Amino acid sequence: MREILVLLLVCVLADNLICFRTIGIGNNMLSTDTLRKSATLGAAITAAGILTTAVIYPIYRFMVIPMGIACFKTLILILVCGAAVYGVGLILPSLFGSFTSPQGAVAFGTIMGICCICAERESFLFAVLSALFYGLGLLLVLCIFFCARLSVKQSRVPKALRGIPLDLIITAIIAIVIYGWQGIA
Amino acid sequence: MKKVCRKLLVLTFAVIPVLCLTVTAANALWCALAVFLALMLSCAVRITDKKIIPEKAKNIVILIAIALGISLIEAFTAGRLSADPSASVFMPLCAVPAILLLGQTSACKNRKTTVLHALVIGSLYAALLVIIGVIRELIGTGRIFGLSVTRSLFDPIAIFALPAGAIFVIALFIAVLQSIAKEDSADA
Repeated sequence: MREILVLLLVCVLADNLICFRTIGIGNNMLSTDTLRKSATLGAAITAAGILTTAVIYPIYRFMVIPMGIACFKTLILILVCGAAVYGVGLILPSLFGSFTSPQGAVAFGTIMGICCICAERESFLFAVLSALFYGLGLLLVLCIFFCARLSVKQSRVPKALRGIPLDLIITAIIAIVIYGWQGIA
Repeated sequence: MKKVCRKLLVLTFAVIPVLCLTVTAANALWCALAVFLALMLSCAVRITDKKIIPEKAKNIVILIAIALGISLIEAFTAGRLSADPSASVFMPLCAVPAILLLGQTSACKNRKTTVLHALVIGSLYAALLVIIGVIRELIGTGRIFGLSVTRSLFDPIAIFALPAGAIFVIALFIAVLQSIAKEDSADA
């Protein structure tokens, strides 16, 4: 139980996907018109991340590593994550269409990032739990980002910084704040 | 100028998914090569005749081509992404910019312009990625490609070697490009 709690704290805060790994930053800027949309996006990526990890982990452990076919690792990862994004795109077409759209490509990258980290875990349970907790961390940052963006919306900002640069600076400040949690890792 | 800035803005956005691979200039260079190769291979699949690769199967074949390009560079760089051992774990992420950049070439009318467009975009993107890697490594550690350059002149600002530093660098990059693009449109 203690190990799971530590894993939760590390994945959500100390090793946050957006703030510490810079994976999935594009999600902030592409699909955050409403808090509900941000939360749905975070939940969809979490679910897809868990599913792909559950598929990829056994393939890695029982096929790729024992058979010495590490060269197919990237191929398997890309095809499984592509299928996951395609599946979520069919269920929630408004969230991200196919993986060739910008939203789809960014979500594809985020899911792949989750799988890359979780495939390195020592057991299946820890891999799946890590995927869940990384997803929750992403969801948390997407919601914080949405609230921060709302408060900045009313402020006067230099023209050059409007749009993506401001979104990135907000993300960087959130990253510095969350970086303080590194100590517990 | 405005057009160039707009193109660069799109390319800069494609840098964001691989920011974790730009801790050092060397890592950024390998990542740029992987994206370039993946882009060229996927572009070759896109312009292939419908009789050879049916339209319905093209997306899957594009993914396989991208994976092949990244795997080749990954095999070549095994053990060379030394500055950050976790960097090699994230090499598959190079597929994201390759997909985003491939989307940029879809507007081209014929095969020749598509290949040329992909070549130009791929080279520009590679240059951009290496520049970001050099800036981060130079300010964050005082080195370029592992060689000490400014360590005797000023103390490195460690935050630039951290993820937050990468986000700041890319934000400033986009702000400069946006201001140039807006100045240009105001002049016109």
